[in-house]
Amino acid sequence: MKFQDDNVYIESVLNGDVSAYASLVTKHKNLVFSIVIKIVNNREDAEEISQDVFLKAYQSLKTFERKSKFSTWLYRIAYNAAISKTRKKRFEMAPLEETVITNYSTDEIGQHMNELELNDRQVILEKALQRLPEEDNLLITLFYKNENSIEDISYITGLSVSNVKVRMHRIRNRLYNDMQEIMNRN
Amino acid sequence: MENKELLPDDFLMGLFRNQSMESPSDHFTEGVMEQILREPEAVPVKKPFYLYLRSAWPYVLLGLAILLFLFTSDLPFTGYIPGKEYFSKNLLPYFQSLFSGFKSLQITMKTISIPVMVILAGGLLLTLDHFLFRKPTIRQQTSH
Repeated sequence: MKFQDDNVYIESVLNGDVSAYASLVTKHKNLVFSIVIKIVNNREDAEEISQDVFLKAYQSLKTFERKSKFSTWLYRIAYNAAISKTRKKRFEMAPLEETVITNYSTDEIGQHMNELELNDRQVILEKALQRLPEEDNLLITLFYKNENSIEDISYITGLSVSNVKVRMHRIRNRLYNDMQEIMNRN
Repeated sequence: MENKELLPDDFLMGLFRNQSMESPSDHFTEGVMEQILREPEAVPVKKPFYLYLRSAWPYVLLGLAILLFLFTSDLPFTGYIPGKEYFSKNLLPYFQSLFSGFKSLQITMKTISIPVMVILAGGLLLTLDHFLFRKPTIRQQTSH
């Protein structure tokens, strides 16, 4: 299904065409659901929260100022809703991780991974992501899967830009190390 | 830390591109739209001024009627209401003469005066109803 720009749907909704909102929901439901389920870790809860997110966004649509993209604004609502549900503090500062010493650089690890079949690479990635804390998993997914900028991620999570950069650096290193470790075990 | 270390690396981006994303149930969108349509005023509509009047006017009239009763009453305790004496001496005579012009109608044309009074009263009520009880359109209910 080909989607139009979000602003087209938003204008339609604000002009009284409620059905246009269904297109916005269909367009963004997967990522909203992904964000929520990474935090709450329960499919039923994630579905309910995700529906509430879209309802809340609809009710607040008049207040959307379009300073950011609609998706960024929506993901922020999703993130806050999921965090509220789990009553977690936003991004509790995790203790500094010990640097895992490996004999390989990230480039070398990438090369090793490239030698594997596509399916195997995806399995290793999935296992490595599951090892990450939920919030770190979410951060790296927003950056690499959804290609959100550092500033977008800062807006969504409420972290400062510098904090996001620091965390992203650590998460990326950890992800590579975990992938290498999984490869070694296999 | 240099920004270049955070530039998206092609390897990870390629990996994530092929990663499947979690999806909600097939009826997710329907569920959301059902909730929205169940509450037609989910997009907040600014309440028109006359809708506030619609709910407030009975209380205003009741208040005026009570005030009129107190100001024209002979009950002992009402003597202490401030301004009552001024009202009785200066304003009440004007109310008494307000309808004095209609007295002649009542005396000389009884067969006409009653219907005229009924029509006047009915016209007044219809005018009040027209201005105070205007129903909002469906578009006003659902638009921003």
